[in-house]
Amino acid sequence: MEFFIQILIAAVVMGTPLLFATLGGVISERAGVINLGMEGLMLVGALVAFVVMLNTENYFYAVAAAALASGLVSIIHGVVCLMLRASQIASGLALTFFGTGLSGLFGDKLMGETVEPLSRIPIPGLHAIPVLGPVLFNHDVLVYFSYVCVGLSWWLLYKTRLGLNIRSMGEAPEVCDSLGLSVMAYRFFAVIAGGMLIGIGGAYFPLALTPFWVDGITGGRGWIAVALVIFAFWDPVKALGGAYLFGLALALELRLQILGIDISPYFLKMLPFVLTILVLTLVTIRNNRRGIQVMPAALGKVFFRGEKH
Amino acid sequence: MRKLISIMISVTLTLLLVGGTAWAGKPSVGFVYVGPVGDGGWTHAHDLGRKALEAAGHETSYVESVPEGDSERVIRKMARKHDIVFTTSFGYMDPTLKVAKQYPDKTFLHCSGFKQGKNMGNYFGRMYQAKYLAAMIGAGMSKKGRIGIVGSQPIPEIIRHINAITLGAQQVNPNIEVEVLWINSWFDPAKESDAAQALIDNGADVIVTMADSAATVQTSKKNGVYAIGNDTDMAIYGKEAHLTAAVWNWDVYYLAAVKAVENGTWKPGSDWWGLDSGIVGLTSFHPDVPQALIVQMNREKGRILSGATDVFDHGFTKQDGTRVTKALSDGEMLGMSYYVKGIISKAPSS
Amino acid sequence: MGRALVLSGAFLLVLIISWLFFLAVGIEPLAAYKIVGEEIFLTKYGWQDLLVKMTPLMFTGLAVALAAQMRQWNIGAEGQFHMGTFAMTWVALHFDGKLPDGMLIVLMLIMAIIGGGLWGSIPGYLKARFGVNEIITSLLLNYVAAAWIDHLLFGAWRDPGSNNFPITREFSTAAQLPNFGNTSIHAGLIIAFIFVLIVAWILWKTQLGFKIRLTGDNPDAARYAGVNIRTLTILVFAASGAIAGLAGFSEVAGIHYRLQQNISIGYGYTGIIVAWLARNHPLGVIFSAFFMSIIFVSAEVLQIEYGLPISMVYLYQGIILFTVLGTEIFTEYRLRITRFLL
Repeated sequence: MEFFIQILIAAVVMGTPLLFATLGGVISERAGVINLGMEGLMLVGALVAFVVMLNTENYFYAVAAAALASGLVSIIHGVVCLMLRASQIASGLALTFFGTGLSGLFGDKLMGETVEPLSRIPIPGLHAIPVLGPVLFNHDVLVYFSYVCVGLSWWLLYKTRLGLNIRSMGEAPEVCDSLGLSVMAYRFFAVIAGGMLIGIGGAYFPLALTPFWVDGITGGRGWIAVALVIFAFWDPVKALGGAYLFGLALALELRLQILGIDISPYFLKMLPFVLTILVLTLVTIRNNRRGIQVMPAALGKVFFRGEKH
Repeated sequence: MRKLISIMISVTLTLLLVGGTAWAGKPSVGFVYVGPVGDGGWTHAHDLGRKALEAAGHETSYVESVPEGDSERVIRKMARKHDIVFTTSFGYMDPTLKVAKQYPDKTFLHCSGFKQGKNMGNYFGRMYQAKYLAAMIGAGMSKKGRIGIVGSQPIPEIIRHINAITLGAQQVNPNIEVEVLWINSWFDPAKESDAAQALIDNGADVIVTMADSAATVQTSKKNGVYAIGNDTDMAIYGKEAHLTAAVWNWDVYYLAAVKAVENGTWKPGSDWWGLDSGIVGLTSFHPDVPQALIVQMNREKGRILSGATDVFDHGFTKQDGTRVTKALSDGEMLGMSYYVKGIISKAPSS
Repeated sequence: MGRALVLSGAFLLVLIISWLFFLAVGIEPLAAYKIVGEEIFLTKYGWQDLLVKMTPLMFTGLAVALAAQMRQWNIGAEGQFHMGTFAMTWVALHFDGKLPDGMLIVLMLIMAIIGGGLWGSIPGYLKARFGVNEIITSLLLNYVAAAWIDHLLFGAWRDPGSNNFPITREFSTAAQLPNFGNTSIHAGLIIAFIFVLIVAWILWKTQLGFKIRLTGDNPDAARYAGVNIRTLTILVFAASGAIAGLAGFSEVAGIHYRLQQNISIGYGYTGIIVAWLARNHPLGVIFSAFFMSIIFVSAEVLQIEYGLPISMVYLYQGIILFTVLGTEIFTEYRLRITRFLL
């Protein structure tokens, strides 16, 4: 039983940076802008968080600075694919190069430095609940903040005017434009807000998981987050489930070895992706029958003002 | 932005200045690295060796993070620029051989492979000897009698080290249990950390990592258990946990090999240097390590240094119970794919 | 003509941005241009490097461009590349010495087409049959293909003769593409050019190509004209995957002669940029693949000549890509510009 709980705890810990990044991707893609540069943005967030933490020893500043930095860098993505109307996919790839390079360059002198990782703060009362308590309510502050972010993103997207407009930008920008809403402004907002969350996902590495700096500290998680946005069907609440499921896959790969269960680790690596394709197909079939769209209709499409597509 | 520029300028100026101090007549040396020099492990260790060559007055340069798919071109460019080229990843073996044939007047040295040519040799260090000794310290410090190993990808080199660790630990505690978790990746700090956590949760109180980052040292520190570092000294990342590290001192080899080329005495061959050369070694010990344990370890170290023994030459039992009585040849060690007895995990089946 | 103007404009902008970048990192820009230019264009090896690097990019760029002609986005060239290498390596390992001279390499080529083609047809089928978004499925399949290759390299295909390292045994000479004389340029480049011509011919000289372009421009019109869009989608995706699979064939049979890790260094993803720069025109792919090849090879030269760390090279490449992408806006004005100039 304890082993089982340990697996679930590890799933939440490993899933948390994925959750932040996925939420960021959801917001951006809901407005119709794909971001393949998540890995680059996460690295920028990780580096800035570490540097600020090293100099101020203040977790709040570190997280805020990471969000700010990644938000700033994602402005480039916005300029290139919104204002200059280049391919979002190509721009995302450029962003990956850019972010990886930027973080490596500034991280050059940081080898050997360490910071104090975030400590666990059990939530009074809740942490005593069997199973759920240790799994969900005995973590560091950023894990709790990720719960808040899930709620906030959900509220923003579904319960506010702003969110409705953001979602409309991803579905029918021409209509929005004809209604006098600025497609550019809303999409920029979503790209930057999304970039900030992605940066916080990066910040989780040096602040909690691996409290030092090393080139490529995120270990390619940004690319997994790209897939997770899809797995979550562009929904903040499903992002929570998806991130923890991927976290569980990571945690299981190691703990199945402890149990002596002999499954090829490479099949375990494939599993979440195959599962995503299967689920996506099934849901698409079901929704086709009901006539519902699964993904934002205008996702990845360049919007030309005053032109019909 | 101004800070970015000033940092970039200073970095570049340092590189230019360092690159500009070459003395005429000394062979210049190029390095092709598989990872970034900031990896804090394998590539970082090689780069320390390169810096030793710089200090000895050789002009050097390097290209980092070169994927196998691109290596041939980079090696060729290095061959045009330098007299000696070191390539430091197994995957560079065939490309190095190819380029060596195109540049017969240059010298090529490839790390961790087995192919040679008229002007190409290979080199490696008997890291398993250092791991073996480090494990003696680890076993002596384990109260629970259980060592956890974080493995990267299951290649023979890593399996050889895991076996050496187990045999070394058994020198101190014949009943030691060794558990291995593979992260199945060359580099993934977060997963290394989680693997260490899983091993600690499962009862290990000394963690040895085969991966490059210091993540396992940090996780051990957080959990109040001990750790042994890999490739470079990782004490700065958590001196409370860091017992010692089995490290590379490539400078020893690079200085000697380059000297041999300079003197015209170099011949292609397979250099697999051991503890006696100093190419591998241990860093200073944690203050908690009792003197008696160090003495015991030093006695075994003396036997290895004198050539009286090696790790895999005095018989051992494989995990499946078969007994090996003959000393292993270098070839058998280089292709090792089974576990020795004492490891409680299953050997990777594939 | 307009396109050529925009491309030259982009190239000029790249030079200017590079100038600023070099100044920022303390490199004398003119000297750097000279060194990079000489190293790339004035040496025998520089040209070789450009053409060798360009070969896989031509294949992957062509693969993406072909699908894009039908407004289908194939982000899965990377995975199709891997499945191409898988299928051809299977033949090279199992049929070596069992086939008459010259047949082995041909069979390998066919298998790479089949391997990449089948893998590519999965997103095509899911899109055609169920309407599942192809960007997403093709992207996800990349991860699956990469894990599959690792599974083989760390398992059944591991070569005991190479100390059990995760590489296959070296192919026999019958399974290797010939090189041009003493150079590292291999026959893959010729195959790439042949396929560029084939795709261009199909697109503009055949009924099939007309259907593809018509569907891309106006699916409704195509439907009225009696085009079976479902079948066509699967077909185009299969063809796109097959071409990406050939990139794998060309790299493995032309350079490495064995399967090992990291053979594709993101060629499938870079192919997206190549296709995009070429405006999805097969002949344009030749030029944009060459352009990207210059960017990558010159980055290597900068690393070696100036000791730039890899991080600075990534940063430089990111900035250059953003710059080139940013010039897209000018294509909208190209008519005006050309008129103005003429």
